[in-house]
Amino acid sequence: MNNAIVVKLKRRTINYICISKLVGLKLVKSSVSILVISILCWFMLFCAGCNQSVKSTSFEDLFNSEDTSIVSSIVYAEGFDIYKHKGTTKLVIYHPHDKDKIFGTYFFVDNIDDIKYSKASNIIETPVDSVAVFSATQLNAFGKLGILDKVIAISESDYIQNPEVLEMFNNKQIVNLASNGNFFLEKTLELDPKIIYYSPYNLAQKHPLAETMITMIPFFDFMEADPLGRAEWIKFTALFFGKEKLANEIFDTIVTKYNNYKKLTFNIEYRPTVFSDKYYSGQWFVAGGQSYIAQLFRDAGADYLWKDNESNASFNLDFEVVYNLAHNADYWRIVGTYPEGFSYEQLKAENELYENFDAVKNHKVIFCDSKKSSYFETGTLEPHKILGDLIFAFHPELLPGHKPIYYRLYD
Amino acid sequence: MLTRKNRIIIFAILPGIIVLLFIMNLWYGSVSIGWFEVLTTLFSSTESNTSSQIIIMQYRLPQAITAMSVGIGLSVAGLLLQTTFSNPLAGPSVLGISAGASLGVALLVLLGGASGLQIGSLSMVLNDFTMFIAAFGGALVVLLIIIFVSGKIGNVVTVLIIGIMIGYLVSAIVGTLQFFSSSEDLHSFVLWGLGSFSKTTVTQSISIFSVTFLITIGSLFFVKPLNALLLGHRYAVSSGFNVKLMQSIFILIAGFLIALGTAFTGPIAFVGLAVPHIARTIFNTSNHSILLPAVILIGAALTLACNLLSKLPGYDASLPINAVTSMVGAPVVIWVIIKGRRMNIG
Repeated sequence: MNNAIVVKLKRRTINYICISKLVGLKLVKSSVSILVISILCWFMLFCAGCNQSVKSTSFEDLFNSEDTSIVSSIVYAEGFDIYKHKGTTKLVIYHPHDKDKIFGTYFFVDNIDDIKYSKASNIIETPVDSVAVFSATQLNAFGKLGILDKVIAISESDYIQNPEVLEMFNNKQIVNLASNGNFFLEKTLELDPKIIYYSPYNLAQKHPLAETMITMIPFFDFMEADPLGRAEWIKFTALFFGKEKLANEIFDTIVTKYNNYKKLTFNIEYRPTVFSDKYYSGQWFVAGGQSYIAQLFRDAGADYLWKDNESNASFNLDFEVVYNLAHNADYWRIVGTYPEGFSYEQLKAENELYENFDAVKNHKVIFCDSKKSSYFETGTLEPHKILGDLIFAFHPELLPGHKPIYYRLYD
Repeated sequence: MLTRKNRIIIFAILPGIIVLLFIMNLWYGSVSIGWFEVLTTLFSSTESNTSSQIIIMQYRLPQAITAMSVGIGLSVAGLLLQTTFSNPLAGPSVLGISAGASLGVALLVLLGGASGLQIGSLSMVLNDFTMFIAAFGGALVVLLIIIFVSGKIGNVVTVLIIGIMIGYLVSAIVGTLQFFSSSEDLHSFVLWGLGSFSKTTVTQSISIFSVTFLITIGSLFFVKPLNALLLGHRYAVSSGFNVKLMQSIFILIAGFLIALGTAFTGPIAFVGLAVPHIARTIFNTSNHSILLPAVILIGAALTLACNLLSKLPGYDASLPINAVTSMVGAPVVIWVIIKGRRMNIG
């Protein structure tokens, strides 16, 4: 019995020795392969690092921030800058809430094959041949620059009013890639546009396509408080398609026309008071004192009631706060849409409280039908027309015979 | 145990608290208006024209009346539901009945817009009326489902979970509707769904109050069957009540009151569930002859207090009313569940 146990134990020991030898051999083999793989990895990393440093030194050195001769060609817009130096263009997009922070940098080259170093996604070969445009305001710039044929996709097709885009959409030349804020990711990846212009309203959330090879270009025109700054984003769009000269011409015309209107109100004696927007479900969202519309009121010779506010976005107030300040204001500006057109009866039917405003009693509401005038699509590139309409409403004597397009004073 | 005398004292104090809260609602707001001006505006017979008079009479007054009426309506509805389902956790928002009313309104606003039925172009009265009918329809559908389910399952917490699931289901349907609707319809629905006492005009608030008042007074006639139901189905039958009929009446009344409040103010959370429990605790009774009037008074006081709390001191904007009512109501639900476990209700 004891012998049998001894034999069994011996056998087991031999087995263990054999197994451990085998395992040892395997361990040696795998250690070697791990070593080889890690050396390879380090080598690749090293190479990539070399590439990275070559790329960054080349482009970043080209645009040395201490070189004072490199000046941005952007005058009014605060959201981006364009620098040109030695045949290369650099586009810097700033963080919309912190102008000192850079949101993204892009370099533009005519032929990407000429670049010896890494073809990083922030190097863009111009002109770009296909783009998906996720905001109706941007489509208007494409139309003006004559490059609508580069647009292969849009978002929220239900709300697009641009007739050319609609025709292309109906002819299936353009497809819809997002609806009610949902992106059709698979369709987008299949279509594979070179770039996507998008408006990131929620900056904290990373765009689902940020990791793909499609270059996502943030478009912050809606954050510009200066009407001319907002229009200047046409230069941004033009950069990608080699249409800068045309964009500059279009923009210069807008500036001239805008400033000509603005000059009219320089020496006016009376600036009528004005307030803005409507009361919705317990909140009145009022445009900030440094906002786009506040700037337009200033240039149109009106006295905006919240002009001293320091915000460039809207903020919410209780009805009674707005009423207390605005009940005897001269004018009330509203952007909206009514299926049957604006009327004072409809406005009063919306909320009985509106009857108490002097601007309603005296029929001094300046209304813009956003749907009929395509305000949100075409208005961005026509700030001069918007300013003209507002001057005509506040000071009709300054622009006799003016034909309003966006805003109209309803008698 | 409260003596009869103590109860009478509390009943005498409560209307005083309501009047005080009501006047405080008129006095306190983002724009500061003096006490004297509030009182002269309220009691003067001349037409009000100054801006503070208009703020008091046309903005704060309808808001206070609506808050009070919705508070009464939801609380009475909550009590009726709790007794009818013999479930202490029954209530308009918890059982998904408010969500059902929301679905009715969503169908009207979102599908109505899509099918070309323009709500905005209809006359105001018809608009209010259709909103109410839609909310009532939605609330009744959910109530019918709850009746069916609670007939199958006796456990109160399970019925509660079913109610919460119905709430999720409804929000899923609303979410799907939103996906296919236009931005304008979506905008109006989202704003409605936020819930607010300040959406009503003077005439609307007075009509809501009158209807709520009439229905709650009417419900006082049902104290006996309610008490009988409390003692059990068999007891109620043996007392000579047609239980099925009574239950249907109570559910209809509750659905009507919930729909009325929801249609004009959007869904208001937790008031209907919490108030009956607060009343039971204060008066230490489950007798409906005391509970029903108590719930009416406490409901009015609670929503007036919540509305006052939502007007943040030093700010020009107010908190969403649902944030305030949930902060008051949710702890009550937790307390009821903990207490219920000890009493073996769950």
